[in-house]
Amino acid sequence: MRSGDKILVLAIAAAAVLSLLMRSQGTSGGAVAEIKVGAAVIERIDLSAVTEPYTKTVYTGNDGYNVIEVREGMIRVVEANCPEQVDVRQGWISSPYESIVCLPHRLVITILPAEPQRRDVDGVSY
Amino acid sequence: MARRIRFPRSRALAAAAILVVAILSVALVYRQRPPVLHVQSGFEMGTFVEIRAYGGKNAADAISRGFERLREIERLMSTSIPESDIAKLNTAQPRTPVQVHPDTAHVVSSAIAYAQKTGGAFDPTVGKLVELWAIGSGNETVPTSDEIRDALLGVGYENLVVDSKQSRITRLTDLRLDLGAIAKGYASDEIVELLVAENISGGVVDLGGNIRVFGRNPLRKQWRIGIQDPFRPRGSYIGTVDISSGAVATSGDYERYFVADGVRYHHILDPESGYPASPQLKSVTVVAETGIEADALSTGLFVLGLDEMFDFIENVPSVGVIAITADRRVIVSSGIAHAFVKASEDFEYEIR
Repeated sequence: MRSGDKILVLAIAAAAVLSLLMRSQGTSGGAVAEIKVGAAVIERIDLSAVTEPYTKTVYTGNDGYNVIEVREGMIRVVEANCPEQVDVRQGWISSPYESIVCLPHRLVITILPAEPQRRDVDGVSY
Repeated sequence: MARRIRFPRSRALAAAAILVVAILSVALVYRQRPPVLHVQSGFEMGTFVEIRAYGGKNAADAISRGFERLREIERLMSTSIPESDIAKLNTAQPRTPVQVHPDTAHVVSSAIAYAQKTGGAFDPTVGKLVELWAIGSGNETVPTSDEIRDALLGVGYENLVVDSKQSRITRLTDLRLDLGAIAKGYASDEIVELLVAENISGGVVDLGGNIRVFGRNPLRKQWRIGIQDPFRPRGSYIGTVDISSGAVATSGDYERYFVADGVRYHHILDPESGYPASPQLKSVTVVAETGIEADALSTGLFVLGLDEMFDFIENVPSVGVIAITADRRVIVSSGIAHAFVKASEDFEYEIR
């Protein structure tokens, strides 16, 4: 093998290793649940750090409330005094970009990825 | 055996150097982070709104302006804001022209055009009927047939006259205008136009499930939109449709409804009968080039019902439809079948 060939082989090998390294960047970490009422962020919960399940009540104004249950890696609205109960019926969410919306109480819970991640879909039409 | 290529050492070194530089620059481009994603959400037009834009420093600013535009449209076209063009029109003396904003005149004349195309299945003049049923208000009752007959008096898009040049609208009867099935679609188009003018490279405008996409998606080749599973919680989808740009809007019987004496009454009202339309349907999703078309047609085609809707779109090749029936069938129009991927085993799928 000539030295030119050797350099060529080395360069290709280096490029292959390099591109593999690039690809493996951006893997996921723990997820964070963000609770908002209107535009205000009420709380951010690191779902990977939850050891014991617990519930907390968010008062949303005008006598509205939503009881939120938190477990390791997941979150849901377990009870609320909104008319249609869309949020309660939705159940647990756990994947990045999933969200629960309680329209009458202007409450939004969104799972934020710890690091940028690929979405399964760019939106859901309903 | 491959023949060994022979050339002078210096040449080989130079070639190798060029190769390394080329590979490194490719790697650098590869490594470059995708455009920064800016997201803003809020409650507008009675729904949950989210705008996502990929772009430079001005993206956050551009999104804020998108929200401002949304509020502007709501102030003009809401039925519940007393100063809106629509409220003014609805309370003015019939047969008296009312001066409105050019945007309102544009949306009303588009609404009339979709009403004509769908033979009145979509009709923006059913305001009294919407008020009568008051679905989503929390204290609904089933109206009597007399009440429904009264609410249908004077209904009909042909009783609405728009002077686009002068931006004047005249009601020929005492009908009530309601742009609830078209204004969100229009607003999504307006926001996209604004974002494109601000050089945003790509994004998603989601107005309560009325979705409009544009530009380049850094995450995948196209934009992938899920179609809500009518039998499962919000966010679960029966399948996805991939589009490079355009709009996806859904009218479903599960979004707003009430139950009385064990009967379910949903909010998509048939302008002819005055009752909730097409009981055999759960939802109709329309894929179109613009939000205004997807929004208006999702309501219109739901009212038309399964067979008539597919007759309709045969003549409108730019429009795709995904209909979901109460007996768990998913019917996809042939024009978008190539872009549709099923995601649930709970349904029977067919292409029509």
